[in-house]
Amino acid sequence: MLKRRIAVLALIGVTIVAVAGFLVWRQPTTQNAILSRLDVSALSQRVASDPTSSRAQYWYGKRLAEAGNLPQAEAALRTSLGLQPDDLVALGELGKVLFAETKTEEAFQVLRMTVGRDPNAVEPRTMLAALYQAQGATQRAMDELNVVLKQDAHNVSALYQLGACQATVQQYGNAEATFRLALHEAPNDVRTLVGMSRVLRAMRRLEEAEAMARKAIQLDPENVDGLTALAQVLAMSRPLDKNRDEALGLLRHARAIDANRIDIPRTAAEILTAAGRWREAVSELREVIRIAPDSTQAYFLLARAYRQLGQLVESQRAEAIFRTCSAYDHRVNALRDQIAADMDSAQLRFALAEVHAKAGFPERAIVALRSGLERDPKNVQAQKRLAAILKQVSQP
Amino acid sequence: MIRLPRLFIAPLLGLVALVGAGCGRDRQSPPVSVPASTPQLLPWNVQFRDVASKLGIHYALGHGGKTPLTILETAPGGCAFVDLDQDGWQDMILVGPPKCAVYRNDHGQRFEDVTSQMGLQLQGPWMGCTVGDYNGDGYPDVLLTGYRRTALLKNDGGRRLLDVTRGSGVESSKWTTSAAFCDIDADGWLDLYVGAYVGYRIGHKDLCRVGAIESACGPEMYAGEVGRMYRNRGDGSFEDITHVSGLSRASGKTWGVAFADYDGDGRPDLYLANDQAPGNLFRNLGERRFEEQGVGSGTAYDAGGSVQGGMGVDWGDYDEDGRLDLFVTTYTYQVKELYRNEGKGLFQPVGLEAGLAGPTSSHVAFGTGFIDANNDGHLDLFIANGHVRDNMAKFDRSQSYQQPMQLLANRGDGTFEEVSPRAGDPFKQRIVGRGVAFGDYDNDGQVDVLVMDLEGRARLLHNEPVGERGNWVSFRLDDGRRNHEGIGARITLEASGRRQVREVTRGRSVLSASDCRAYFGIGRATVVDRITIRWPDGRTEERRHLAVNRSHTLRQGRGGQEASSRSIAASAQND
Repeated sequence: MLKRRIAVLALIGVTIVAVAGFLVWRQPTTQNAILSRLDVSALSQRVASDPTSSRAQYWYGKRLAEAGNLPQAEAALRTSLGLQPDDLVALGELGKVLFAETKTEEAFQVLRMTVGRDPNAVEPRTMLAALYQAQGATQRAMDELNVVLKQDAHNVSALYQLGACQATVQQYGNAEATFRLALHEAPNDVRTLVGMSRVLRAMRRLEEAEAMARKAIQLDPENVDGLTALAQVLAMSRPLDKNRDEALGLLRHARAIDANRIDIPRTAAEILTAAGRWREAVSELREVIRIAPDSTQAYFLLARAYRQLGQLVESQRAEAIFRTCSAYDHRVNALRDQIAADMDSAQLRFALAEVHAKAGFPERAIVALRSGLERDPKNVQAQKRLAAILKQVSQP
Repeated sequence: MIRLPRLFIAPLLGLVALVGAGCGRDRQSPPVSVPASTPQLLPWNVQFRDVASKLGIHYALGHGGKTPLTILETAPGGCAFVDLDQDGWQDMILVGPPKCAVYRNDHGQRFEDVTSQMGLQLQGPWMGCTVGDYNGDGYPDVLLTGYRRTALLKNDGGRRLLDVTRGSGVESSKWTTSAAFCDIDADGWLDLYVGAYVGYRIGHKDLCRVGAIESACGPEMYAGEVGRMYRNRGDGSFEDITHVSGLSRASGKTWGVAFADYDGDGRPDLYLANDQAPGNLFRNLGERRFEEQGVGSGTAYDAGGSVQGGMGVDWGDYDEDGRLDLFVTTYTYQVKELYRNEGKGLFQPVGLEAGLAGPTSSHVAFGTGFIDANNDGHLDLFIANGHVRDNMAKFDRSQSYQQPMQLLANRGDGTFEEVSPRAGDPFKQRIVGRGVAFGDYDNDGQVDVLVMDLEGRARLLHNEPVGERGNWVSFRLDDGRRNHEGIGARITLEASGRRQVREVTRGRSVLSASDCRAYFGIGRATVVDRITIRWPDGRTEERRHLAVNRSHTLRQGRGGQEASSRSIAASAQND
C-alpha cells in the first residue's frame, strides 16, 4: 500500500516537474537563452520545424546578419516582427540590418520607430545618429548621441561617433574632449585613436597627431584609416620633403591592403601636387576618378597638374568637368546647410531633390523626395515627381 | 554619377599677344631673377605700441554685450589712412555702425576728431571704405560701403567731405563690403570696383539654431551678391560696366578686393576674396574686359581644391622673384593661403610650405597685408583676427570671439615665422579684428598699422624699432594729370644687388584703404641704386642713386626729377 502511494506520488511529482519544465521551457526568456546558443544551421532547422516561433525567427535573423547574409537576415527579422509586431528588440535588429544594407530610408523608418517606442534603446539610437550623420544632418546626429550618452556615459561607440560628428562641424576642441573620454574608456580603440589624430592634425598639433596615428598603427598595422591618417600628418610636418616620402610609402602600403579606398590616391595626389610632382600627381588623380568619377576635387587638381605640365587641352577638359561638378556640389552643400538649420522643411528637401535629379543622380533625388514627403505627405507635386523619377530609374 | 558635358570643347586659353598692347605701353617685363646675394636679414627688432588713446583717438565699436549677434552685426568695420588736406601727414577715417569718424593728423603728434567739421554726419550700418582721387583734383576722395548703401564723398580741398552719391552712378542697394579704385583702362581716371556680400535682409533668418544654441547664420544661408565695376566717365559720374566687363561672372559673397598686375602685362587685374565661394582672379584683357582665371590660375580654392572663407587679400612679391604673389585670409581651420606666382598665369598654394598653416589656422582672419615691418627688405605679414560668431565659445571650447593679432616675419627663404609674442603688447591682447590699414602716420619711415576692433576701440599700432633699424625709402607718385597718387604704378627698386617690386595701391586688406605711398625697407643698404617706375599709362621712367631714409615725391614726365622729398630728420624733429 505504502509502495503504491509512493509510486503515485512519484508519478505526480514527475508530472509536475515535467509540466513545470515544459512551462519554463515555453517561457520566452528560457527559450531565448536556448535559442541564443544555437548556430545558424540549428536555427534554420528550428524555424523550419516551428515557423510560428518569433524568437526563433529573431535569432535566426540575428545569426544570419552576423554571418553577413543580410538579405536573408532581413527576411527572417521581418517574419519575426510579423509574428510579434511589438518586439522592439527584433525591430532594432531589423534597423541594424537595413542600416548595414544601406537601405537608408527604410533603416531610418525602422530605427525611428524603435527609439520612438523604446527611448532607452541605446544601440538603435546610436545607429540612427549614424544615419543622420551620413545624410549630413550632423547636429541631429549629435542630439541623438547626447541622448545615448545620458543613458550610458561610458558608451565608447557613441563617444567615438559624437567626436567624429564634432570634428565634422569643426568643433575640434569639443571633439578632442570627447575622444579623450572615449580613450579613457578604451585606451586602445583604434578608430578613436585615428579620429583623435585627425582632430589634432586639423588643429595643427602635428606631433600629438602623429603620436596618435602611430599608436593606432602599432595596435593594428593593417588599419588603412590609421595609415592614411599618419600619411596626412606627415605630409604637413617638417622637414616636408623627408616626411612626404614616408607618407607616400605609407599610402603604398595602405593601397596594397585596400585598392578601392578613395582617400589613399587622393591624399597621395595632394602630397604630390604640393611637391610639384605633377606627372605622378596625374596618375594618382586618375586613380581617384576611377574610384569616384564625380570627385570634384580630383578634377580641380587634375586641371592644375595638366596646366603645369603644359597640357592645356587636357587641363581645360578637366576644368570644365570640375566646374560642372563644383556647381552641383555648391548647390547641394548650400541646401544641406539650410536643411541642417531647418530640419522640418519639406520644401528644402524637394529643392535638393531637383538639384540631384538635374545633375543625373536619380537615386539621391528619390531619397530627398521621400524625406520631404515624410514631412509633407500630401504634397501632390512631390508625389508626382517621385513617381516620375521612380519610373525613370526602373526603365532599363 | 554626375552628368558631364558630352563634349569638352573649352576654348583654348587665349594667349593674349603681348605685342600691340597699346601705343606707349610696356611689353611684358621678363621676370626679375632672384639675386644671388645673401638676404640681408636683420634680427627681429620691432615692437608695436598702441598709441590711439595717447594721440586722442577714442573711436570705438561694440554691441554692449548683446548676444547673439547677427551676420550683419558681426561684420564691420573698416578704416583708412589718407592725407585728406594734403599737408603731408596721414589723417584717418574710421568706419562702422552707427557712425563714421574723421581724425586729422597734427604732425604725427596728435589726432583731432574733425568728423563734424568735415561734414561726415552719416549714420547707419556702414561697413568700410576706400580712397581714391576720382575727380583728379589732387585731393583723395572717399567711398563708404555699407548694408544696402554706399556713399561717395568728394573731398572739397581737404576742408569737407561732400556726399555726392546721388547721381554719381555708384548708389547701391546691396550689402557692399570692400572696394578699390584703379584705372583699369589707362585713361587716367580712377575706376571703381565695389564688392558685395550676401542678400541678407534684417528680420529674415537673423539667427540660426545649432543644437540648443542660436547664433549668427553663415553666408551659406543667404544668396550671394555680386559686386559692381564702375567706369569713371571723367565728369564726376560712373557707369556700371559689370556685365560688359565680364565681372558679373564673379562668385559673389565678396569680402576682399585688390587690384594688381599679376601677369606683368601692364594692365591691372583684380582678385576677389569670397566667403564660402570660389575666389575670383579676373585678368584684365584691355578694352575694359576681364576674363575669369580663378580656377585656371589655381587661386580660386585652397591647395586641395576646397572652397575657402575668403576675407582679406593683398598682393606682394614676398619671394623677390619680380612677380606679385597673393595672400588671402580665411575662416577658422583653413590655411591662410599664400599663392606663389609662378608666372604664365599659374599660382601654387604654398601656405603650408611657407609655415603659415600652423600659426594661423585656428583663427578667423580678416584684415591683412604685406608690410616690411622691420625694413629688412623682406615682406612680412600682418593679420587681424576675430570670429564671426560672438558666442563661438559655446559651440567649441577651443574657439573664441576675441582673437589675437598676428605678425609673421619673412625669413627670406620663402618661409615665415610668427613673431607676435616678440612684437609688443598689442599682440598679447585679444580683439575682434576686422579692417586694417597700413601707413606711416608719423613719417618716421616705419609702417604703422591701424586696426578696427568690432568690440572695442580702434588701435593705432606705432612701429618702434628696437636697436638697429633698417634703412628705408618711400615714394609718393603723381602722374601730373589726374591720377595724383599714381595708383596702379609699379616701382622696381634695386639696392645692394637686390630687387624689390611694389605696386601703388590703396585697396588691400579688407574694408579698408592704406597709405598710397610705396614703402621699401632696404636693410643695411645706404643708397638706392636705381628705381624704375612703370606708370599706369605704360610709360616707364628711371632714377638712380636716391638717398635713403627719405620719402620721395615723384611726378611723371619730369625725367624722374623729384617734386619733393622728406627726410627722416624732418619727422624726427617732431618725435
